[in-house]
Amino acid sequence: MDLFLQLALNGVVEGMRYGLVALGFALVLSVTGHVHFAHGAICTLAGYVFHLLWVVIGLHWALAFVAAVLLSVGLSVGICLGIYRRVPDGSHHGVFICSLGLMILLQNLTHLLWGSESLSLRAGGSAEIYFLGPTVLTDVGVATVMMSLAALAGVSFLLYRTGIGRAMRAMADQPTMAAVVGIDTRRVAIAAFVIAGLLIAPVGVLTGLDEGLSPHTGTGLILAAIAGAIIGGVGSLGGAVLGGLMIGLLQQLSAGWLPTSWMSSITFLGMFAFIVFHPRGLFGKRMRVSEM
Amino acid sequence: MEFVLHLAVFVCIQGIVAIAATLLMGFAGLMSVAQAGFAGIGAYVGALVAMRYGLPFPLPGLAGAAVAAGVSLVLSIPTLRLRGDYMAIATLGFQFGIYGLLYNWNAVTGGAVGLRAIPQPHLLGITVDTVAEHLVLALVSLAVVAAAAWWLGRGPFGRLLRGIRDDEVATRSLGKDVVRVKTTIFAISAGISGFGGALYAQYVTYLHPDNFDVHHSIFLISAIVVGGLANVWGALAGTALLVLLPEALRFAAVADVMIGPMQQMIYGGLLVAFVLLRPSGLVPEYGLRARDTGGLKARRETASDGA
Repeated sequence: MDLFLQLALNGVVEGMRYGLVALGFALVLSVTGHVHFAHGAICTLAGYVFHLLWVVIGLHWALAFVAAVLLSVGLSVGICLGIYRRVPDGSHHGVFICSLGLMILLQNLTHLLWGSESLSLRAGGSAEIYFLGPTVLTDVGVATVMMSLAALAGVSFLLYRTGIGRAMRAMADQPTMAAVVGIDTRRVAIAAFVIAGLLIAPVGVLTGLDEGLSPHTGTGLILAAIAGAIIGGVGSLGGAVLGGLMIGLLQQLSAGWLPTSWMSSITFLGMFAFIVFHPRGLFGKRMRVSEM
Repeated sequence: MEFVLHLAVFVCIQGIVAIAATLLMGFAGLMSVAQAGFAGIGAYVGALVAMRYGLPFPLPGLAGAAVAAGVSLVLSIPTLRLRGDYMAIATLGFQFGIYGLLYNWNAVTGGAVGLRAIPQPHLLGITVDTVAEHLVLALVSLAVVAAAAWWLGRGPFGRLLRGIRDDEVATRSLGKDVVRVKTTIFAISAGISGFGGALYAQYVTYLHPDNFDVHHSIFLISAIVVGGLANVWGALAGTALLVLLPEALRFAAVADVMIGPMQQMIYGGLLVAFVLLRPSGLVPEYGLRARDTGGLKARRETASDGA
């Protein structure tokens, strides 16, 4: 029972991380229609840059963190403007293919620059540990959960209480109409990618602190996050986080009695089942981004 | 010399799988990230058939093709009603499902150890066991597949596929059963991939699930995008370029550990560059694009003249 509780708690932390990735992915997908695979690769790169500045060069952690966030926002917006929006005719397949190519490109660039060994961000100091009944939670775990909830609250506030948020919901709902009524769709798309970039850098840092970074880290995260976003319902941001949470729980709990090599198959067969039988996802209808 | 022949066999086999991919993605415009998975199903089925029953040459490949085509229905029938990028994501899930099956079903696929000592193909009492003989077999197989794909692409069925790609609603309004056509092309494409996979299995005589992971699916997409979609020659040109280009790295004194990631960077970079800068690829869809857009422009001009 204690083991079950510990696994469940690990699953919550893991799932919140997926949720944070899924949040940005789902926002970009619903506002711009772009399937943004490169989101995960940016995450890894931000983590590595944080490591470079904090551990290797020895900057203050806050400075290193700001630099990682700036890099990830810059890359996000750069990819949006420089690549996705330049795909001829704005073809969805073209963007899909480009983002796959970018994911491979960035992942292997990281591999080339830093090698393939796992890199831990814990320089010497060990984790602060909290006891919750029979289970154990690390400081990074606490930070991950808090960060995800704060991100969800922040993005919800932005979407439902600000002008740019209203424009985003309009674009998610009716892209052509949004353009017709004078919404600057380019600016709104940039805003979505800025938010995605802001949300993804902390994930790279938190993952690096928690379990270490490898060039494949972001790819694993984005794939789990896509599964989470689909299961939760792409139009729903709360659903995306909840879907990510479910994937994390499923993976950690199934690790209790199944070999871990089954994990990604289970995740993706689950996603496949949702796409086939319930493409709207769990919350796709009730909590749509586009709901006015 | 041996190495050159080996590369040639490799280009032929990958070319077969790339032609399968272009039939689906180029002609019919259906995005799939599961093509490597179908090649994997064909490879494992072909290998197992060859190992257990020792059947002569085309039969293991045909068995692999049949199973891959059958499995494709599990993917295509429920997902074809979905919007394009949702379907693409579904194929991604399917790719991971197939990979997981190959990786974990130890009793049949050998799991992470893989399958070893797969017999080489034999035909009329001759066992194909030199690289040159394998090249002949691969070339003949490629010629048959390429001819079939070319014939399929330029005939009425090919027109139907392009019709669905360019304007699905219009094609449906002509009374065409769009879903059946899509299911058919999915099965044909998976079957050809499976055949190519089986050929690969009997050439290298060793299979590992990693040969059929999502990266290989992306490699295939790169090959057909770089070569030019909806075009048999394009698929072959792209495959040849993408197989041979990374080999040049070996001669350019690049450290061994760097070759893997650099190869992947080349695939990814070319993919982005071609979509942005030359979406028609190295070998554009023959004559069709130019004529089509010309016609469209002419019609628009007439329309505006009238107004």
